[in-house]
Amino acid sequence: MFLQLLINGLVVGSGYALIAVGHTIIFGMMKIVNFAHGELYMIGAFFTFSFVLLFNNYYIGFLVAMVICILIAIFSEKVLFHRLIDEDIMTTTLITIGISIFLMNIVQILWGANPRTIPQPFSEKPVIIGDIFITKPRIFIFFTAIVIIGVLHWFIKYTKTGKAFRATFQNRQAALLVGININYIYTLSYTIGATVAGAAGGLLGMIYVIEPTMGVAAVGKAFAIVITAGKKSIYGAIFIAYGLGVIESLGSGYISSQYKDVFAFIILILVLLFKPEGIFGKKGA
Amino acid sequence: MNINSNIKYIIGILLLILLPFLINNEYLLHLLIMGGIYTLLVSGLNLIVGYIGQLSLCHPAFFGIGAYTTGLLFKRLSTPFLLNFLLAGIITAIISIGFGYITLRVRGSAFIIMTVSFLHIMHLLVLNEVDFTMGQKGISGIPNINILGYNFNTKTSYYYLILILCLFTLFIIYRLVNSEIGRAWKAIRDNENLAKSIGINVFKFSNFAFVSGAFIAGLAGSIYAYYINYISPDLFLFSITTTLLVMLIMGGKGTILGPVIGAIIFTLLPEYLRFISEWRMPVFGVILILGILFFPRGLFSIKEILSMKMKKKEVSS
Amino acid sequence: MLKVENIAVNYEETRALKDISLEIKEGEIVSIIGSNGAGKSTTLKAISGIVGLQSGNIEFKDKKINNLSPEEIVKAGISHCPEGRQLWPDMTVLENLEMGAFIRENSESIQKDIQETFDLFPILKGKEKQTAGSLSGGEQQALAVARALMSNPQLLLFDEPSLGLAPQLIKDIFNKIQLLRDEGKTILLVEQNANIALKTSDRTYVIEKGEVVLHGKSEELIENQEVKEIYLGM
Repeated sequence: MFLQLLINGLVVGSGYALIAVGHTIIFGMMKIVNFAHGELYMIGAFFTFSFVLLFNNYYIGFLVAMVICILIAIFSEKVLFHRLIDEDIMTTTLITIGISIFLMNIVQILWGANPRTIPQPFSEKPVIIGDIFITKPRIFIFFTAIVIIGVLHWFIKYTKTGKAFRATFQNRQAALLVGININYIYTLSYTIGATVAGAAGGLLGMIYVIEPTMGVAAVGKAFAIVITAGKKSIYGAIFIAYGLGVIESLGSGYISSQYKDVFAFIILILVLLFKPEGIFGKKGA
Repeated sequence: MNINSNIKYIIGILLLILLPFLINNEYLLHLLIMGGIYTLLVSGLNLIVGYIGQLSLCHPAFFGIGAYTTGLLFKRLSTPFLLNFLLAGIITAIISIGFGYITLRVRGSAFIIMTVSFLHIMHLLVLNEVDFTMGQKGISGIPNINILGYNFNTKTSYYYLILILCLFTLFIIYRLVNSEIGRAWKAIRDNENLAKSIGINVFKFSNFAFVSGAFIAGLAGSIYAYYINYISPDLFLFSITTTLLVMLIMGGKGTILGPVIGAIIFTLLPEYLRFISEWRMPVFGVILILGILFFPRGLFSIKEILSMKMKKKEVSS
Repeated sequence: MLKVENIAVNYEETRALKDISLEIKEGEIVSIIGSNGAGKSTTLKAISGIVGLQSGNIEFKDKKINNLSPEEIVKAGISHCPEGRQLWPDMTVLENLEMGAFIRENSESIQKDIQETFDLFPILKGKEKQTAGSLSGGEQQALAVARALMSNPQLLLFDEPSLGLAPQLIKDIFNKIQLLRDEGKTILLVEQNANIALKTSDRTYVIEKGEVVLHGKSEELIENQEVKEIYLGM
């Protein structure tokens, strides 16, 4: 039971990690409280759904959906999000809530509200190890998330653009002074953050129901994770995301499945009360 | 307030009193009653958003708590209206004190997230504690209001009740905003650190605004339960938050009459745009975005913007 | 080499610079002194393109640079070492230096310059893998100067290099600045510490309330009665 719940939790945590990484990047880099972030997760799932049906192949469908996500991200950064950098929090929150409502309802009109799942390419037979029981899509989701996070880590840590990204993240003015084009870095950051969230949608949509309101629930979790981790900590957010997945899984197994969505907020409230700068945050940062 | 504007207000109030005789349309009267309930909600939300400058997204939760307090008191104990009405306000206020005590220590994004979470948790509780709240089914069969034998069984009677409640609430808010308390609120909104440095207890004043707003929402919820005779967990949906925000922003936050204008316009408008019914929410989304971008101080500011442009022209010519 | 003509700048909704003109010839060390809030830092920010001009002109090597982005200005050969060092605290010393060379392409010559940096600033030796945030104040200032050098600039702008440093370390940094000039760099520095600025530089501009109130050879200004009273505290 325990191991089974732990593994389920890590799979859910993979999804949370992908959403939260993007959220941290956008929040930390552009200081935008982005309520529309969950909508990219939702849109990623719906586009994957439609393209998988169109091409009759999950992998092609997923990749095409990601290309669409990238284009949407670039467009929305250039047109709207770029203007929100450094705007006060009330303005950015209200505008991104507006974007969120707009996208959610547009998807509802175009695709309809009835819940569905993305057709998955694997055999129905689960993998059984001892008394643990894992379906193949879950294994695929877990390892794909690890690969995406790994690539992201490599990019940020070792490439020149990745270093420029970190430099802008840590001190924008210094980045300007050494000749980094920070507008390019912003577009790049938003695109990465949004697309990674879209990927989470395209992956988790295989094991969960996709519906237009899924983004709202996701963005709440993403916020809880980012604030718990300490706002500017990308790796902290990943760690907390997996942790939250496990806690929710254990909590719904041992305590109550109806209230599994509450755990994130209880943790958040405790963190804000006792360590308001976040678990991995720095005081005064 | 000079005599001239006093007369304007008196004429306005007289018009509102005569309105039911003038329109003679049950459905329009119903919309006006809903507009009145929204006026109460948005005016309460305005205290924390417009005067303190903290964005609260959980206002529908207080409305819902008021409605459920009323519904449950009636269902379980069959207590009379006045008691239920007052208890709805008081219990909502007590819950908001507890919540505000924890969350108003933080500002900005953390506060915003806590309020969304609170709304979400309340929704889950009402949905899942079926034995207590009747879950998704909701509570039906709440009777009409009965005060000392007088039965509110017409739309007109509810209209006057809401009208009195709105006028009274707006008057209290007007007095509050123009008192020492209101000045402290605005000082906090404009510069929290400065407010702190001149000895304003930011936490206490923020809490007071927050709890006052919640108290009004609780009362509104109670009236709503009696008026519609039915309540459900849908009262705790985020879409209501959105509607309230559109009303507040477009009406003009941080003003007394802005919430009234916003509430009335955005109660009536969607009903008369029925043909776009499924596009209502996306349109609200766009209105919110454009409203913030172009009219950050509400539709009223159109007049200001226009007159400013005129002045500029005069100066340049 | 650099010509600043009658520039005015609004910064955070107040007029930070009213009318500043100055000129720097190749191989000079020029300093700007003045009291707090006089507009010294803003002048440097205007030159490096971080704040926009309201009016006026800036020319570098006879080319207008008013409307260039900070990126293009760095590429043109101006490097700005900002007040308060502005390092990237969670990046290593090596990464900070690499990023200083962001606009350069040839990685071989960058590696060579990084090696030279450690010869020029021996206190950074052996700390390549340490994060900038873990360095001491003197080491951080050395790293900030070293980072500014990495773009291979012809003109270096220094903003308050003495800030927060012990007297011995201040001396070190200013010795380095003179050394850089001897190697062919041109230097414009802004200092609160008028004494050391006047002693290090060839010429000095005194700025008050966004305007140049006095300028001349440093060795002459140091004898000026007004300068002595107001800025040297004698």
